[in-house]
Amino acid sequence: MSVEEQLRNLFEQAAANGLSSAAAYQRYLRRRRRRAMLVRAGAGVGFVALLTAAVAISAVLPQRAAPTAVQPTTVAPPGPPQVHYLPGPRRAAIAVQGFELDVPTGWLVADLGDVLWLRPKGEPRAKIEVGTILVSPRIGPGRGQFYPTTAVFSGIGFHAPSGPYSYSRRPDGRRVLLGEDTGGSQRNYYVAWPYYCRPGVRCAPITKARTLQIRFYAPAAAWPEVRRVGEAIVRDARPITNALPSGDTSGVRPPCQLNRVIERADIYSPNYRSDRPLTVELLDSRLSACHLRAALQVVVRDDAGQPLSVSGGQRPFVLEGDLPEGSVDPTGVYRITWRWTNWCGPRSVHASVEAVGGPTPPQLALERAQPPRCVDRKRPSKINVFRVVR
Amino acid sequence: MSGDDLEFRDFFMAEFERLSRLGFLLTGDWAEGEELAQDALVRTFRQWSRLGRGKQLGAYARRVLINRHRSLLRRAVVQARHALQTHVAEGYQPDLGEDAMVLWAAVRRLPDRQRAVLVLRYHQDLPEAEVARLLGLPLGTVKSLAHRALARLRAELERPVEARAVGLRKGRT
Repeated sequence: MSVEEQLRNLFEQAAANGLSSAAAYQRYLRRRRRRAMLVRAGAGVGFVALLTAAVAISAVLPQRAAPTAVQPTTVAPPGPPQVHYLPGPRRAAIAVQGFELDVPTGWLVADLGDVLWLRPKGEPRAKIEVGTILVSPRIGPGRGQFYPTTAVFSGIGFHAPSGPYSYSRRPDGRRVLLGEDTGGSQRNYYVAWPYYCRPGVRCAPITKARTLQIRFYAPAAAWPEVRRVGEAIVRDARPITNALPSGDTSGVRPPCQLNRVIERADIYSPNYRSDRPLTVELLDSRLSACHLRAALQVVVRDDAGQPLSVSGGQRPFVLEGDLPEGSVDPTGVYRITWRWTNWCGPRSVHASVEAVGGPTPPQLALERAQPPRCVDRKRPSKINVFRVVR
Repeated sequence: MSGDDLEFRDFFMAEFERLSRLGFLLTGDWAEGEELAQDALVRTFRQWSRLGRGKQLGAYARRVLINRHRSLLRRAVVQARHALQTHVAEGYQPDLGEDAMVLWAAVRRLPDRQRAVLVLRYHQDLPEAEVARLLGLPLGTVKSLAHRALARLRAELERPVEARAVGLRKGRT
């Protein structure tokens, strides 16, 4: 049989166990409603931008003395995003990511998301993206400057740009990594951009591994100008709020935009064969200052998407606190593990962890878990909170 | 429920499985495959009244899915987000025979563009010119990507069994 025929057979077999359309349609309807809500929320962006601008100004005013105790957190109204212009010269900033920069003449803010996108007027194919990100400490530009070269941050997934790498320094001494340095009309720079916690808060070591990513690309004709502006941002982007040693003392932070990972790992279970551990880790992917409030529950559903009754399931568990600081776990991650045991029903069911309640529950992707082994048909299946790190 | 909604529901039921399978084969992960399919269908619904009711709707949704996959691959931001999810690195393993398992592992190790070309050619049965259009690549590039990918798979299948076993173990760590 030729390799082409084998491939055809393979693709048919591998994709044979498709997903249920009925359950998927319910998920689709929820997604469509969320998208409509986001469009409506966009109308409020102007208001939020003004509000966050006021917050950032108050935070960076030099005459304001930093408090010595932890201040209570005030949660800013939900709504995207935390990008704003400051008064005076054209400046753009993301306060919760701790940076601001000048927008050059002839350029505009192209998009408002969890990164700042700039582009030259009249050239939509050229872009500069600026935002914070965690780079692998092994190659991160902050190693040796903001954390030891031997530092190990276990339990965290990092962005790991491919090589070749080259390092340099900005005029202010911060180290800069140029990754994926293969020439052409694209550059990926990472500037050491450590996060500083509020005074009095035990700061997780991971916060010092934050970097400011400046990524730019353009068609050949626009490349010289885009490169000039991009490299100027690498050199001149300014730290504000939580990137200053005094930390973000405003106490105001938006709701977290969360990444979530559900991990089926045997390390959390003494008896993995009969238990099914469901672990959720909550980490703000930009390592920004934000307030987490998430009510989470485990729901067991059949193939048609209908919820099934399991003892202890569907009991929401609320996690609340400030990320990335203020966490007990040195990695800066909130983690909750449920244990699902003794499932003697049909095998074509799955459990998922879902956010519930609140006006804007976190919209998080779900990993679905298969049911545990049947141990005793006379006893009910149970779901219990097994371990919480917060 | 409006008439548009009812029609779209039928369209969804007819297309979702096909799209999620395509997403799965492109990414190797059912959750990501569904994510791509859902996103493509939400975007298709937004254009529903403009596109009319012709047969091209399915092709349109497929094109949206492939474009979305391409842009996800391009965007370092999204790559980083995925990198933060390395805890779920253990990939989905379909229930296959031993030879097919070797081929599946080899396909999973192919570079993204090579894998996308193979999926579109041999799962979607699209001509090379259409693959080139969908991926935004010159026809010659598609041909050479397919040639290189097939050569790698042939080489993998011709390796001795012992060497394959070592390769498989490495691939799983």
